[in-house]
Amino acid sequence: MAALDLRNVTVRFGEHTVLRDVSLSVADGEFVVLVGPSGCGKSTLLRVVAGLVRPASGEVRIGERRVDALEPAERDLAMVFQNYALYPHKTVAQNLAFPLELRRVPRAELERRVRETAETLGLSDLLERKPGALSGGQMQRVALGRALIRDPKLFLFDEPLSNLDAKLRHEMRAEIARLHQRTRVTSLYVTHDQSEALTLGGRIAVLDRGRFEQVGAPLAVFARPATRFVAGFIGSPAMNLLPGRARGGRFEVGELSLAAPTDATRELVLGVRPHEVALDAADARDVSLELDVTFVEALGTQTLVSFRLGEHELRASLDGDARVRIGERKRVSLSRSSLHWFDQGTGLRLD
Amino acid sequence: MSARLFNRSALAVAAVLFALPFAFLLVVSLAPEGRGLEDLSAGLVEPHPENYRLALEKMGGFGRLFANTLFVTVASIVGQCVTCSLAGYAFARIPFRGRDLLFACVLATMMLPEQVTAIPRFLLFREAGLVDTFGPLILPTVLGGAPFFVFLFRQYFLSLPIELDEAARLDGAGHLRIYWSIALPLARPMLATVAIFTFLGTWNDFWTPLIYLFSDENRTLTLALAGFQRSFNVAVEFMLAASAVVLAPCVLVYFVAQKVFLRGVRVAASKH
Amino acid sequence: MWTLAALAALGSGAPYEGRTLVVMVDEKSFESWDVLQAIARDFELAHPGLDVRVIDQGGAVGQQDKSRFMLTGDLQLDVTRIDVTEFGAFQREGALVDIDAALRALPGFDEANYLDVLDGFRAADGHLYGLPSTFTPYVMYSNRDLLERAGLAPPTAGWTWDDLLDACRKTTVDTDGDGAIDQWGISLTQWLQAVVPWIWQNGGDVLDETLTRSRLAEPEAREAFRFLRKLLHEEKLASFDATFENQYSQGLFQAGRCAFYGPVGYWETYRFKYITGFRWDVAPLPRKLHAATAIAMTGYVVPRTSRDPALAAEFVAKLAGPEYQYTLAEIGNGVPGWKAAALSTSFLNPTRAPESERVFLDVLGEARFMPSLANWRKIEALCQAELQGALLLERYDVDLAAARMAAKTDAFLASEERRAAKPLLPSFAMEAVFALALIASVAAWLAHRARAPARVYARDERSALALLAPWAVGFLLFFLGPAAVSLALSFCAWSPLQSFDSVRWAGGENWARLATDDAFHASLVATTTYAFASVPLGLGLALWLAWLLRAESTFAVFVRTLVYLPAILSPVIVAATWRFLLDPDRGLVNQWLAVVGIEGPAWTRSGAWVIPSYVLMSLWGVGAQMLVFLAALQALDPTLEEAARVDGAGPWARFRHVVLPQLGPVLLFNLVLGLVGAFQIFAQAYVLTNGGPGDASRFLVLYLYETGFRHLDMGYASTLAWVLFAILGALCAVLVSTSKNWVHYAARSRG
Repeated sequence: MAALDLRNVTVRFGEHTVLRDVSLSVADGEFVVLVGPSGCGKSTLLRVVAGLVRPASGEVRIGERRVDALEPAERDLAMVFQNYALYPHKTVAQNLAFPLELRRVPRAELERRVRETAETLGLSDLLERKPGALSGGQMQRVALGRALIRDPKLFLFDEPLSNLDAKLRHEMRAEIARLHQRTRVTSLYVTHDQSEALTLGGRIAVLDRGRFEQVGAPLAVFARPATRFVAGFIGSPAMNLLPGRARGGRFEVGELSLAAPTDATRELVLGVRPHEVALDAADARDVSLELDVTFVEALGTQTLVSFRLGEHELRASLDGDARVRIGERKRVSLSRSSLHWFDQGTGLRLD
Repeated sequence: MSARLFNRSALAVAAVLFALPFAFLLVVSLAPEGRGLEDLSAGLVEPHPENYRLALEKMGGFGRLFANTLFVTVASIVGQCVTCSLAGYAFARIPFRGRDLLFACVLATMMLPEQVTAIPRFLLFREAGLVDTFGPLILPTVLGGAPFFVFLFRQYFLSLPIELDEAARLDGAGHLRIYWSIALPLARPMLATVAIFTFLGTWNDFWTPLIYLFSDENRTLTLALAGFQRSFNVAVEFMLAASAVVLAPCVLVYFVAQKVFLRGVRVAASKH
Repeated sequence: MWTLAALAALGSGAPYEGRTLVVMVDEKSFESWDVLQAIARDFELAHPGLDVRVIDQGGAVGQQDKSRFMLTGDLQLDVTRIDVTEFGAFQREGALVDIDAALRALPGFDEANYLDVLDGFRAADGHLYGLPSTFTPYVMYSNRDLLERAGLAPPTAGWTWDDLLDACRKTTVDTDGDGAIDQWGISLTQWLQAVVPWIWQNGGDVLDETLTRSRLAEPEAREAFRFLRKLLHEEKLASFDATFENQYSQGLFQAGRCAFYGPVGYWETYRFKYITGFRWDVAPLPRKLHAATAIAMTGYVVPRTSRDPALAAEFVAKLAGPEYQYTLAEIGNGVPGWKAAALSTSFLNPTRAPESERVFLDVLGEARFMPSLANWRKIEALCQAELQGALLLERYDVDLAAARMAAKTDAFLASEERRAAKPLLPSFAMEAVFALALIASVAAWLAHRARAPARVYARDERSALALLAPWAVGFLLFFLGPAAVSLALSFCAWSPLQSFDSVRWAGGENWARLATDDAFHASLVATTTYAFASVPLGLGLALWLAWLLRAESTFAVFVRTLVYLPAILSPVIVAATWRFLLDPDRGLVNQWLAVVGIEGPAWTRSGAWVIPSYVLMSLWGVGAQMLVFLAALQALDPTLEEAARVDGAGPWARFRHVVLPQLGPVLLFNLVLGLVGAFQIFAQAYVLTNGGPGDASRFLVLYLYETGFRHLDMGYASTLAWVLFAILGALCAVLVSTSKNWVHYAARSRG
C-alpha cells in the first residue's frame, strides 16, 4: 500500500490538450473518486497513473517511488475497466490466474489464491466458464477478482459500474465499498455519476476540461461547491443556478430581489439547491415571493416542481405528497443561509 | 413474389455460368486423347479416367512434387501468419514515433509489381547461395512478404477492445506476451483467412519456382503443370487432367475452411 | 551399375572426379526425356567421376526466363538449348562460349555429318557456337481431298504465286449455300517469320547486308504485302484463322475447311496426327522470282556460365549426334540436324503422314535464317502492329505501314549502336545502390522519428521495433533495396544476359523514350481500358451477386460456393481453360452463341475483342470481391432497412438510399484492390495471347516483362515498372482523398 502523488501533469493528444497542469495527492489507504462529465480527462488521468499514457510533462509518484519511466506492470497497481476487459478466450480461473502466471507465482500458491479470491467474490461455481457465458454482474466480479488477486499497492477503477443496470450497480457499489474497507488499498475511482462519487469517495475530485475544479470530502464539496461548475454537477436534482446582476447591494433576477453579498455592481450567479426551496414558509430571514408553476414531476418519494422566474426556471424538491398543479401560483421561500454565490465571469465561489 | 422468382432464376443462371468452365475442364480431361475439343460429349460417352494416371506420369514423380509444394506452402503459411500478425499488432497497438511513415511503406509495397524487384532479388539470393533451394520461395513470405496481410491484421487488431491490452499490461505482460497470449488467440479467424490466401497464392505460384528451382528433386506442382502449357507434344486432355489434379487441394481447402474464412473476411470488410 | 561406375572411377583414378555438367535442353514432359537421361548416364560412364545433371527447362512458357536468370545469376549452366533467332543476341552479348576449336578437336567431327543448317549458329567470324537440335523450314500444308474435289493436282516444287491464287479461287466456296463462305482457299499465317519468305520470294529482304537498315519499305516487300492482301481482302480467299502470336491455331485446317495452311513448320504434323477425316500433305512454298523459305531451329550451345566449356562442347556434339537425333526424329520433334537421322526411316517414316515428308529436306537449298542480329525479337515486336494492320485491316495504306516499319527498325538499330557506346559503370555500382538505399532509408526514418515529439515510452518503441523486425528486414531486403536498384537501372542500359558488373550509364534516355514509344502507349491504352472496364463491371457484378446471396438459405450457400470457386484458381489454369472456351471455331462459347443464332466474335484472336475476353475472364473471378461485399452486407444494421421499408421504400430505393451509402468503405476497399490487381494483369495475357493480336493485349506488365527478358533491355523495363508504380500510387491517392467526400456524403444522405 502506498500514497499516490501527481504533480503538474499535462497530457496532449496531437494539438489537443487533455489535461492541464493537474496535481493530486492521495493518501495511503484513501479512496478518491474522480468525477466529471465525459471528455473531461478523468480516464486519461487514470491511464497516466497506470502508465498507459505518457504525459507531456509532470511527475507521478507511488509511495516514495517516482514511476514516470516505469512499465505499467512495475508500478504494482491493478485496474478495473468499464467493459471488464476479460480475456474472452480464457476461463474465469485462467483470467484470474493470468496476472499470477506472469509473476511466476508457484502453481500451488496460484491455485490457492484463485480459490480464495473466487470465494471472496462468490465466483467459485463459475471458475470453468468463459466470459461469454457470464452475466454483466458476474463479469464485473471477475474483473474485480483479477485486480484483487495480485494484492496491488493501488487500485484504479475506470467507470466499472456504468455498464450494469441500476439494481446491480447499487449492489456492486456496496461490494466495492466493503472491499475497500477490508483491504484498505489506496484507490482511484473514475465515474461520471455524481451520486456514485458522493457515496463511494473518501474524497472526491471534480474534473472539468482537463482541470480540477474542486477536491474534498463529498459532503464538503456538496455543501460548499467551489465553482459554479461543481455546484451544477454535484447533487441531484441539480442546483438552481440563476445569473443576475448585483447593484447597490441588491441582487435581482426575474421577480426575485434580495440582498447581495457585495455592494459593488457585478454580474453574479445565485445558486439554490432544490430542496432548500420551500412552499408557504414564512420565516423572517427567508426570501419569499409568488411564482407560477410551469411543470410538475411526481417521483413518489419527492415531487419536483418548476416555477417561472423571469426568463429562468426555479426548481423545488418537495415532499412526495405535495399537491401542486401546473398553472397554480404559489408562494415560494428560500432560506438565506442556503444560498451560494458565484462570480459570473470566473465561475468562482464568492465566500 | 415474382421478384423472388426472378432473383432465384438469376442466381441459377449465375451458378451455371460460374460452374461451366469447371464442367468443361472435367469433361475434356476425361475425353480420349486428341478428341476432347472436337466433341465435347466424348468425355461423357466414353470417359477415360486413365488420362489422369497418364498425366501424372508425364509430370513425373508426383509424390515428390506434391511433398515439395506442400512444404513450401506450409512454411509460407506459418511464416506469413507470424510475421504479418506481429507487424499488424505493432502497427495497431503500440504507439511509436514514425509509425504512420512505416505503415505508408507497407501500403506502398502493395503497388509494387513483382517484376520490378525480380532481378535484384534474384542476385541477392544468389549471393546468399540460396538459388535452387526453397529459401527464395519461403523467405520473402516469412519476412513479411505480403503487405496486404499486414494491413488485414492491423485492421483486425484495431477492432479488438484496447482495454484487453491495457489489462494485460497492468497484469504484467509485455507486448510480446500480449501478442502471444491475448491478441493471437483472438485473431483466429484472421489467421485462417491469411492462411487460406497464402495457401492459394503459394500453391498456384508458377514464376518464382520457375526461376529459382532447377533440380529435379526441388520441382513443384505448378512447375510441372507449366511444362504442359503451350507445349506441342502434350494433348489438351492431359493438360486439363493435370490442372484438375493441381486445383483439387485448393477446392478442398476452401470447403474445409469456408466458415472461418468467411468470418475473417467479414472482419476485414467491416472494420476498414 | 552404379557400383561398377564407382569402381571404375576409383580404378582409373577418376580423372573427372568432382566435375559436373549442368544440362538444360529439354522438357520433362517430353517423350525424349528418358533418352536424354540415358545419354547423360552414358556420358558419365565415358568420363569416370563426372556428374551430369539434367534439369528441366520448365515448359515452353518459361524456358527463356530460366536460362536468362541463370545467366544473370552466373549460375553454372554448361549446355542449353536456344532458338536460332536468339543466337545473335546471346552471342553478341558475350553470353556464349566459342566452342569451334573444341568441336573440331573431337574425334570424328565433320560438318558434313549435319544437314546444311550449321550457319544458324555460326558467328560473323565463321566460328561455330553451337550445333542444331531440330529445325523446320516453313512449308505449305494442303488438304488433298479438297484439292482433288476442285480438280486440282497437289502442288509440287516450282509452283508459283499464281498457281496458289488460282487454287484458292477454286477452293473458296460456300458449301451449304447460306451466302457465307465456309470453305477457304488458305488459312494464312501472318507473324513476321511467316511473312518474310514471301518477301524473299519476291527478291526483297528485311534488312540490308550490313544489317543496319530495313528494306521493308522497298517495292519488293510492298508487293509481297499486296499479294497477301489480295488473298485476304481483295479476293477474300483466306481466313484470318491464325494470328500473329498465336501460332498454334490450326483449327480451320484440322476441321477440313481450308485447302492450304501456311507458311508453317513441321510442328503441325504432331497435332495433325489426330486428323482422320481427310488426306493431307505438305508442299514447298510457292515461288515468285525465287524459291525461298525461312527456317525455324533450336540448337545446343555452351553459355558463358559453363565451368567446363571443352567438356560441355563434347556433350553438345553428343546431343547433336546420332543417339539423340534418331530419338527426336522418331518422336516427331522436328527435322533432325544429324543428316543420317534425317535421311533414315526414323524421320522419313512411310507409315506416318505426311506422304511428302521429304519436302522438309528438299527445300533446304532455298531456305534462309532470319538476320543474325543482337535483337531480332525486338524488331519482330516493333513491326508487329503495322504488319497486322497492313494484312488484317480492310482499309490500310500498305506503303505507309511499310515505311513506318522500316523507320522504326532503323531507329531501333541506331539506338542499339548508341547503347553499346555508353560508358560502363563501376562493377560495384548496383551493390552500392542497394546498400546506400538501405542506409539512406534507415537514416531518413531515424530523422523523421527524431522530429516527432516524444509522447511515447521508449520501452514501447523498443517492443514495437522488435515485433516489426522480421517484417522490416523483409521490407528492406526484398522490396526497398531491389526497388532502389530498379530505379537506378531505369537510368542505365543493361542486358540480363550480361552479369551485373557490365551496366552502362544511359542518363535520362529511357525516360525520354516513354514519350515516343508507340508500344508503350498501346500498352497504356490496353491496360487502362481493361482496368476501367473490368473493375467497375466486376464491382457491380460482385455487389449484385452478394445482394442476392446475402440470405443464409441452402441454395444461397451453394451458389455462393460456386461463384467463389473460380477465384481460387491459378491464373495459368484460368487462362488455359478459357483459351479453349473462347476458341472462335470450336470453343463452347461460340458454339452456344451459334445455337441462339449469334455469330460469335473471334475473341482472343480479334484486336477488338481481346480486351473484352480478358474482362470476361476477370468477371469469372469476381468471387473474392463478392465475399467481401457479402460480409459487409451481413454486418449492416437491419433496423435502417426496416425503417426504410416502413417508410414505403421499394427494393431498389432501399438498396440505393439505405444499403449502398453504408457500403462506402467496403466499396473503396474493393475498388483500390481491384485497380491494383487490374493494372498488374500479367499471367493470363502471358499464357494466352502473349500481347496479341497486334499490340491489343500487350498490357503494361507484359510489355515491361517482354522488354526486360525477351528484348533484353532491363533499363527500359525498369523505367516502365516505375511508371506503373507511379500510376498506381496516383490513382490510389486520388481515390483515398476523394473518398472522404463520398463517405461523408453517404453519412449525410443516410440521415
